[in-house]
This record gives sequence, structure tokens and C-alpha cells, in this order.
Amino acid sequence: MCPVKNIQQFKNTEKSIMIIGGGVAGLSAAGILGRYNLAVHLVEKTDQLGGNAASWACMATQACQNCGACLVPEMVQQAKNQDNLTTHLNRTVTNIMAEDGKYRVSLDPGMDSPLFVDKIIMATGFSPISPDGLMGEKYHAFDRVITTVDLNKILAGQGLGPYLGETAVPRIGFIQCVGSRNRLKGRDYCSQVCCKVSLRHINKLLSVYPKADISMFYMDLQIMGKETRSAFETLGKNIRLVQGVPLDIMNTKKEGMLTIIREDYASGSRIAEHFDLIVLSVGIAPGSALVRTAPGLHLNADPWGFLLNPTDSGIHIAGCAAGPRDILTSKADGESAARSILKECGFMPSPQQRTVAVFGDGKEALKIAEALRDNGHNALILGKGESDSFPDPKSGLGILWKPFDTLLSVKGTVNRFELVVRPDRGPLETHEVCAVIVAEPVKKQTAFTVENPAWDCLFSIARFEQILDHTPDKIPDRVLFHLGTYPSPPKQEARMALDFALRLVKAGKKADIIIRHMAVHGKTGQKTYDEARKLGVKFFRVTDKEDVTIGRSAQGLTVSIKDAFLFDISLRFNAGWIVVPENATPSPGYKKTMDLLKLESDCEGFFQSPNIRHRLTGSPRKGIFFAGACHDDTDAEDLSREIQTILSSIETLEQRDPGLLTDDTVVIDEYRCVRCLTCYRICPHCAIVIVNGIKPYVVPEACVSCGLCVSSCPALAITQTDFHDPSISNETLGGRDIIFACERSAAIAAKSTTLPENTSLITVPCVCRVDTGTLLKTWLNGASSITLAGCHPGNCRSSHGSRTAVSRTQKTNRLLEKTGAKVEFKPFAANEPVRFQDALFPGK
Amino acid sequence: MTTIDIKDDSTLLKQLNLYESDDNVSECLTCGACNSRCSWFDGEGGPVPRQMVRMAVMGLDEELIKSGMLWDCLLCNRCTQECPMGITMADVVRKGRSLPDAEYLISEDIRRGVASRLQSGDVNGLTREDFVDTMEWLAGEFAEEVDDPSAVIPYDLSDTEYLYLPNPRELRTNVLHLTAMAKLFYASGVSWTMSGSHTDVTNWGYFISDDEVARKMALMVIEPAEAMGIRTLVLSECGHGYYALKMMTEKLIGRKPGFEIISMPEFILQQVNKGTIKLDPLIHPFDIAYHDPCNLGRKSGMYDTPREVLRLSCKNVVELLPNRENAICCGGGGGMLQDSTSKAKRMITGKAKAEQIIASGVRHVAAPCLSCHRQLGEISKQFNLGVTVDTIASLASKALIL
Ligand code: SF4
Ligand code: SF4
Ligand code: SF4
Ligand code: SF4
Ligand code: SF4
Repeated sequence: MCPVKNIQQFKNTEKSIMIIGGGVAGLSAAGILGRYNLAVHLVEKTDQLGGNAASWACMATQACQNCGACLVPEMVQQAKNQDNLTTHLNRTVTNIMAEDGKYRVSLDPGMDSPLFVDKIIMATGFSPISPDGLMGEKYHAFDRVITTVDLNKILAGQGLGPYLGETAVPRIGFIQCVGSRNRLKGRDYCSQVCCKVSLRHINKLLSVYPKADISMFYMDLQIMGKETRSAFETLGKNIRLVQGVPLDIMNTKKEGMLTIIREDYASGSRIAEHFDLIVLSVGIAPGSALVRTAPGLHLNADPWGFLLNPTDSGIHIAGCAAGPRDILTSKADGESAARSILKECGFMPSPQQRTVAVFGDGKEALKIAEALRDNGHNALILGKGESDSFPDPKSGLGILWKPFDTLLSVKGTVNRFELVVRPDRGPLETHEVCAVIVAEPVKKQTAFTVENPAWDCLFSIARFEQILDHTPDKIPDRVLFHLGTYPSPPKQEARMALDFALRLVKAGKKADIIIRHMAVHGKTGQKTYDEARKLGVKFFRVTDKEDVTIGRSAQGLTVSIKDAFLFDISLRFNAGWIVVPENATPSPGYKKTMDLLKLESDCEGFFQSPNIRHRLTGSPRKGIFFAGACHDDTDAEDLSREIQTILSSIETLEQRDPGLLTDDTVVIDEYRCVRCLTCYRICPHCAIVIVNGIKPYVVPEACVSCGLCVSSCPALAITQTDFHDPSISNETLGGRDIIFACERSAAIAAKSTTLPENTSLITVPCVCRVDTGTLLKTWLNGASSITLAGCHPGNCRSSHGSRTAVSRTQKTNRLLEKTGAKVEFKPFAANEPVRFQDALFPGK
Repeated sequence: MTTIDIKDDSTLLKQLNLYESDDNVSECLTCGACNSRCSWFDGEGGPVPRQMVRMAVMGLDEELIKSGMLWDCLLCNRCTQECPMGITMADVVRKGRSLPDAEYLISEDIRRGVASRLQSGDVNGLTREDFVDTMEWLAGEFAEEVDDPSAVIPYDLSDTEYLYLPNPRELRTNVLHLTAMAKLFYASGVSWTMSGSHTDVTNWGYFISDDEVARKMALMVIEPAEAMGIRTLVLSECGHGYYALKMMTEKLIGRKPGFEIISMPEFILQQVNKGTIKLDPLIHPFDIAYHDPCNLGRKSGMYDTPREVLRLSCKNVVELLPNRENAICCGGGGGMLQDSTSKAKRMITGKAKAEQIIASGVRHVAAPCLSCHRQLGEISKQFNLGVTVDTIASLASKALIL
């Protein structure tokens, strides 16, 4: 068993930490640091915490869309409950100086004396780009030209009614890349998130206006992340996708409508189109405060103003301060920074050697194992022989390799997993590990096939890389990379193709790339793409499979392409080789891993937690992590980030979940327990283990206190000290409306609502905590209505809460059928106060 | 569907990508922004700017030439005003027009005008005798007009402060405009002259995109003016003439001219600021809209000076929407107005302008360019706008308080 010591003994009252910026990254860092005996200062320049994302709308339709925005109110509330956190609102940092091994920080408006802190997290965030130049004029001139930031606020508030009036078939145009990818404006980077944001917005709008006629004008859609990919494949069929971002909007033509001109491929000319509403998808620019706060820290910024990794070890950068990223990545960044600080401040049992199991021995897994070893841990690889270098006896130091096939079972839970292995019919071995990292390779499938598979001039990108590295002389003068395949290639493949094309042209060869959407991911993706065009890599854009024809000729390949921009012309050229990407599909072996780990696959068959709270790398089970392509569309940069996040999580694995609002306090009364093991079976987090052969025991650091076991135990043997059997069951509730609200979602959304007099809101840790018996009793005690207000499906913290609540309401309604009672389940996110109000108290 | 072999080294491509920006077509992001801003709007036919760039990038010179887009383009640069890669469509199209294989596209009128200019110094073939005759005849008219028997329109003087370079039409069909200009010089009391070697502000070398021709034409203005020892060359209101002489000369002749170049509105504003002349805006008590000529606005960055002069000369100046960087071309740019067979096209390209004028509700429009002036007049007739069109300087001239 891993040596887990009591955190308390490492506590250090001397240290203080400053977090600059109260947005997602800052708050998530504060959330981690908040559980330690540290003085944490959070400086925020506005009058409230939450940053930009605080005003964003929930994008859930039938289910959660994983945007992460609802985490913000939750984090804000958590920050408010944190004793060791001092929040400085309406303050900016004016000066920071290194002094006696500490930082002396002055705030404006001034404080009596400056603050002295040991560590600083720069989480200064971003500013949404305000439309400027020509588009800026249009934005300011027309009320019905709005930005995605405005749309977020509108959707979070009263909706689009005032903009669209009564029309059921609104014509809405989304214009992508407003303010981004623009060298003229000094922002030649892709903002990374706005394509995803617009797709979610469109999905949401279609749920409100199912008949809406929506057009998306894009430059290149950044279809990154497998969920975006599948969302795009579905959504793409219900909207009109138009390549080309208009830079002009007029209202000269059709009364009351906004007009844009676009290229019409059918006529090869230009046509006018009219819209009720135009949404400008604005990007991400560095937070404006950076310049003011940075000087004393000797920080360097990239040409756009995003902060680069500091040389000073006392400073950490987190979130969009370092570059455009989404909410979940910012959150992971913040947590990572906080955990590094915990480590630096001696809050982890150090020196501490832990053993961590890594599932998989492909490239990604090896990188992880090496990182573990380099950080003083032991890695136990359960491998399937994907890499040539394993099993390699010499690599031994700190890395142990076992064939995956020999793994028989995984018992226990976080900090005390037991891997039972039977090597080659030998005796059983039990390996104790504190965590498991799943990094199994994906199954790769070539995205493009040719008539004759015997062609010797068709290569996968991976194969081409080997040739380029080892026998570049073999490469012909002209190489075609085909990224216009279906579905959009994984981003890593796209990046590699772009890099290789660049290398080829730099070596004096010719390279062409076929695209549907050029992926320009990462902060420098756009620059690389720009450089490639400048150096003469030709990019052909296709919109259909039929647009590319490839035949064999004496010179190699004859390529014919119908370029989307060239009306009625098909382009022809010869190329020596064609290099194609491979699509990532779930490997058949995942099933066994999931069974062993008692995890479910996501809807695409990969490893991924359905719940945003666990992402990016966490799983529904504490101590089990996912990394690399087996859980999402990741590139090398992402993988490094994931490794950092996982390492810092492992090194600070504690006995409590730092993210919890309530303390764990779920206890099984061993005298009442009838050993039916219902709890053991149903705990969605496998937090219950069997001790002494028969007794179920709740492992505190693995339990998320959802209460499912409490409400499901037939012997009523489990208690939750922070939330007793809903006391409501003993009250007389004559005529009262009762709302059981999940503390993570509905209860937070309800905060700004004044409840009508005859309404009682009871905060529960999760709606699954409310059992059928309680519902019945509540009804019998005279409640006039009962609502279970939980999370949107897919975003329930305890995974099964919403589902369980739905089935319990159905059951209760069946039982009470005769009485006309109606128990309802309604899903909310924490950032939906207006919807909460409207749904529960319409007209009030 | 035609199948074409792409070329990596077409004649046009060799001419392009020579600079960091403007002609850097290979860097085109294919963002499509330009397509949404072409001055042809949703008119039939006409250029599709990104297609032109794409054809250039793919080495499809022949297709580009055949498409007709090179000469349908108004060189107005509305499309690439904010091209994220800094590409300038007019530069790209001009390089296309300059292809030897594209020579046949040049209209008869422009061909003739260029030849005549190169031969006689004037696009209409005005001779020195014609010039002197016109000046003599104008002298009497002018003295009457300003009510000063001693007033003259000086010509061929040397060492004056200013030399006025007229539009050829001012010496033929629109001499009234010339007297109006003379009145402004006269009233300001500066030393100025006209010149028998300076009868033509235009430079059609610009339209045909033959830099050698454009250079010759520029030198035909610059060298004799330098010989005359003038300090400042004042250009008649002509968009492309200003752009060619003011913005392109250095590139064309490889040096700065030995004098300053300003436009007539700039001259007027300088004089007003010096207090040498006074204008009475109440003379023009009506609503009047300002039209931004593409060559002056987007291409030369002059937006405010002519507006200021217009405000000094007219009581109520209104803006057409959109305007300035977003302004809509009159529809006659790029050499189209100079081609007498282009009327049908110009009434397509002029439609957006007409709609803009209708929307503004004005009956008067002012433009500091005699080409725009003519096209706007034709639009007004075609679309029954009932609009009177004036140049800025002529309005200022009428508003002079003598
Ligand atoms: S429930 Fe939360 S994560 Fe899901 S769509 Fe709503 S705001 Fe986003
Ligand atoms: S391509 Fe990049 S900058 Fe443009 S909208 Fe998509 S994510 Fe934003
Ligand atoms: S409260 Fe929830 S997480 Fe904790 S043991 Fe029970 S079912 Fe598992
Ligand atoms: S605006 Fe510029 S970059 Fe965009 S398509 Fe047109 S020429 Fe290319
Ligand atoms: S320069 Fe003017 S006419 Fe030519 S393509 Fe651009 S907008 Fe159209």
C-alpha cells in the first residue's frame, strides 16, 4: 500500500500565495489551495469573481454539452466558503518586487501596507476581442449584429425574443474568426475556442428555434476534440456551412434585414443574403491587466501579449494568460499550478516514492512512464507490446513492465489499488499502486483508401515520418498530403502533415495539402500555416469526397482536384507520393480495461468522464486518470499538459477531495449493515471496498458524498453526517411546494431567486440522495408539489444522480397515481438562475 | 468543368509575391472577406476577388485573363481594405492586366488615349495651339466672371509658387470648371500658372498597368514642371491622377519629384486656413452628400480634407452610408469610365451607389474627382435620382466671398 500520511503534519502556516485574477484558472487554483494551511490572496480587478465565463450561458439541450461554464458559480461559492482565502475585489496589482525571497505586492486602490507573498499565480485571463475596424463599425451600427459574448448573456438572461420577435423561422448567421487569425491586426493566431463555442450556440439555438435557418460562415472550422467532431457531424446536417467570412454587413437592401454578400459557387458570382440576426464569433486576446502587473516579475510575453513560462520558480502562469484555451483547460491549468505550489511549499509527503500503474506501452504511455520516473515515482506498465522498446530490461530503473494480458483484476481504490497479475502461469502477484493512468493506444484506421492497395506511393503520416527521419532521400520531389478526409483528421495528424510539408519545401521539394478545414491548433498553429503558404506549400480546399481524384501515372500519381474557390475548374498535377492521415477509433482492447476498472466508455467508445468536473484527465473514479488519444483528440502539447496535471494530482493525492463543498462523512454502521453489498455494487465511484472479507467500508478519499448508497441501502445502515435523512419527512407540509435542489447545480442557481412564501427549497448533496420513501413521506405530509431539481443529464457529479432521480420520480408517481400527485425532475445548471426562476415560478 | 494543369511558375506568379504585402497572393488565407466587399455587390458578372487571387496562386494565368475579371475590376480596393494578410487587390489585378497575353483586353478607347497621350502629351490629343486658343478665349470670360478687367488665367509662367494641372475635360467639354478653379487661385492671390505642357492630370498607364507607360506619363508632368521651377503642383480633382502622381511616382520614377503635390481641395483648405480666401456656406443651403472616390480615400487615405472644404462651402453636408473606408465605388473606376462601351456594366456597378444616394434622400452630391462626377451624373439619369453632382472645388469656387 502506498504510504499515505496525514496531510496535517505537513501544514505550514508561514506561506502565503497570491493569485492574480479571479476567473476560472484563479478560482480553481484557489479551490485546491483552500484546503491547506496557507494564506491565499485572490486579487480581482472587477467587482466580482468568476471572470468572463461567469456570464456565460448553459449550453445544455437534452444533455449537458460539456462547456464547463456552470463550474464557475460553483467555484465562486466555494471560494466564498474558504477560510484561508482573502479576496481583494476591485483591485489591480500595481507593482511587484522580489524582496528577501518573497514578493512585495502593491495593490491599487492602495492598502495600508503592501502584501508579502511566497508564490504568485498569474491567472490574468483574457479579454474577448471587441470587434474592431470595419466589422467593429457594423457591430456598433446595427443592434442585431451581436457577438458571441452578447449571445451568451442573452441566452443566460431573457433569450432572443427582443431580437427576433415572433418569428419561428429566424435567419441567423454566425461569422467566425472575428478579430482572430488576422495579421493586419497583429493577432495572427487562432483563438481555438470560438468554433466550438459557436457550434454549441447553434445547437442551443436550434433547441429553442427548431426551424431556425442558421448559416455558419467560417474560415476553417477547428474541429478539435472528439466531441466537437461528433457535434459537428450531426449539426453540420441541420445548418448551412459556408466557407468564407464576410467582412461587411449592410442594411441597405431589404427592409429590417441585415445583408451580407458572399461568393455563390453555383453561379460563380456574388449573391446577397439577408438575416434577422448576425452573431460575430469573437476570439480571445490577452487580459488587459497583464501589462500593468508584469514588469516587476520579469515576465516575458509572446508577440501577442500572452505570457511565456517564467524563469522565476515562484511564479506560475495559468489559464488564458498563457494563451487561448477553453474553460476546462483553464481549470486544469489552475489546479496544476496550485498543486505545483503545494509541492514547492512542502505540503506533500516528500520525498515520496509512489507506484503508479500505466495502462498501455505505446508512445504516449512511455512518455508518461518516463515522466513518472523522472519525478521520482515508480511506473508499472501494463503493456500490450505496442512499442519496440518494451519490454526492455535496461529501461528498468523505475519502470516495470508486465504484459497486460496477465492482469487479472484491479481491486481497491485511490491510494490503495491492488493489481493482481499472474505472469506466465506463475504464482499470483499483487502490485499496490496509488493511481492508474490509462494511456492505451487508439486503433488507427487509414482515412483514405485507393483502388489498388498495392500502391507503393501511399503512406500514412506515421510511416512518412519514419521515412523523413531516416531515409529522406527516398522522398520524391512532390508530395501530396490529403487532409480533406472524413471525418476531419485528428489534430495531431494535421499538425504533423503541416510540419512535414514545411520541412519538404525548406529542403527544396514541393508539397501540397488538400484540406476541408485547415486545423491551426495551438498558439502557433496559425503561424506555421502562414509560413507554409509563404514558402509555397499549396493548399487545395475541397468540400466533398468527389472533389479529389487520384490516378496512377508513369510519374507517380495524377491528382485532380476541384478546388472550392475555383468555379468550374478542376486542377491537375502530378505528385510522387500521397500521404494520408489515420483516424483514431477505440481499440477493441478498451473493453477489458473498462471492465477491470469498472468504468463506462463515452458514447464514442473512448475513455472519458461524462462529467466535466473530472475532466480533462480525471475519471469518475478518483485515482484513475486518462491521458492521450484514448480519451480525446490530443496532440503532443496537450499530452505534456495532461502529464503535468496528472503528476501534480498524484503527488497531492489526499484523503479528501479538495473540490468538495461538503466534507465526506458517509459511514456504514456495521451493526445495521446486513451485508447485502448493495452499496458496494451501486457506488458510481467505486468508493466502497470490502474489508475483512465481508464488511463494506467507505474509503473517504474516494467518496464524493453523493448519497446514492445512503438512499439505496435497504437496511438504512448508511448515514451521511452533513445531511441527515431529509428532515422534511417529519414535518407537516400543508400546501407547500417542495424543491429538493442539488447543491452543485439547482441550489446555486436558486441563490438569486426569492422563493415564493409557500415554497421550501431543500439543498441535497445530489438528487439521488432523495429516496422514494422520502418522496412518498413528503407527499403524505401534505406537500402540494415536489420537484427534484438536479443536474443536466451527463453533468451529474455522481454520474447516476439525475438518472436515479428520474426513475424514482416515475416510481413515486406510479405509486401515487390515484392521488393525482406529480413529482417532477427538472435539470438545471448552476449558471441558470433565470431559467430556474422561469421554470419553477413562471410569471413571478 | 475544365481541367487545367497548375503551374508553379506562371508568368503572373513570377510577378507576384515580390513584396511582404500587397502582392503576396500566396499568403492568401482564403478567408473570403474580400468576396463580401466587392463593389459589384450582388450585381451580375463582375470579379470575384478571391477567385482572382486563387487563379494567380494556382498559376492559371490564361483562365484569369479569359474570365474577364481583370477589367471588370474597378481597382477600387474595397475588397481588400482589411485583408488580414495585407493583400491589395488593385495591385494584384494590375499585375494581371500587365500580362503580355492580357494585352488584347485593353479597350479601344484606352488604347487610343494612351497612344495619344504619349504622342501629344494629352489623352485627347489636345495640341499646344488648341491650348493657347482655349486660354485666350477663356481670358475674356474669366475677367468678366471675376469682374476684374485685369484678371487673367496665367500660363507658361516660370518660377511660380503653384502650377495647376487640369483634367483634359477642363480644356474641352468642361471649361467652366477650369474658370472656377482659376477663380480660386485668383482670389487667394498666390503666384500660379497653367502650362501648355501640363494639360493632363490623368495617367492611363495606371489602368493598363504598364509601369513603363505610367512612368513616361508621370515624367511628362514632372520634368517640365521641375524645369519651370514651381514649388507646388496642384492637381485637378482626379482620383486615379492623384493616386498615380502622389502615391506611385516615387516607385515609378525612382525618386521624389522636385516639388510638392497636392490636390485642389488641399489647396483650398490651405488658403482658407491662411485666411487668404473666405467661403460662404450659405450659398449652398441644401443637403449635400459627400462621395469618397476610391483612389482618394481608400487608396490615398484622404478622407477629411475634401469633407472639410465641402463643409466650408455648403451649409448642410450629410454622409452617405457606408462611407470612408467602407465607401462604395461610384462604379466607374479601374478604367471603366474611360471605355465608352462600358455603359451597361457601369449601370450595374453604379446600382449600389444609386441605392445609397436614394437612402440618403439628398438631391446634391459632391465628389472631388471628375471621373466620379461623370459616373454619378450618369447614375442619376439612369436611376432617376434627380441629383445634381458637383466637384468639391467648384462648390468652393461658387462659395467664394470675393
Ligand atoms: S450543464 Fe454546465 S457544462 Fe453542461 S452545458 Fe450546462 S453549463 Fe455547460
Ligand atoms: S478558426 Fe480559430 S479563430 Fe477562427 S473561429 Fe475557429 S477557433 Fe476561432
Ligand atoms: S456517498 Fe456516493 S460516492 Fe460515497 S460511497 Fe456512497 S455512493 Fe459512493
Ligand atoms: S481578404 Fe485577403 S486573405 Fe482573405 S481571401 Fe481575400 S485576398 Fe485572401
Ligand atoms: S478592387 Fe473593387 S472591383 Fe475589384 S475586386 Fe476589389 S472590390 Fe471588386
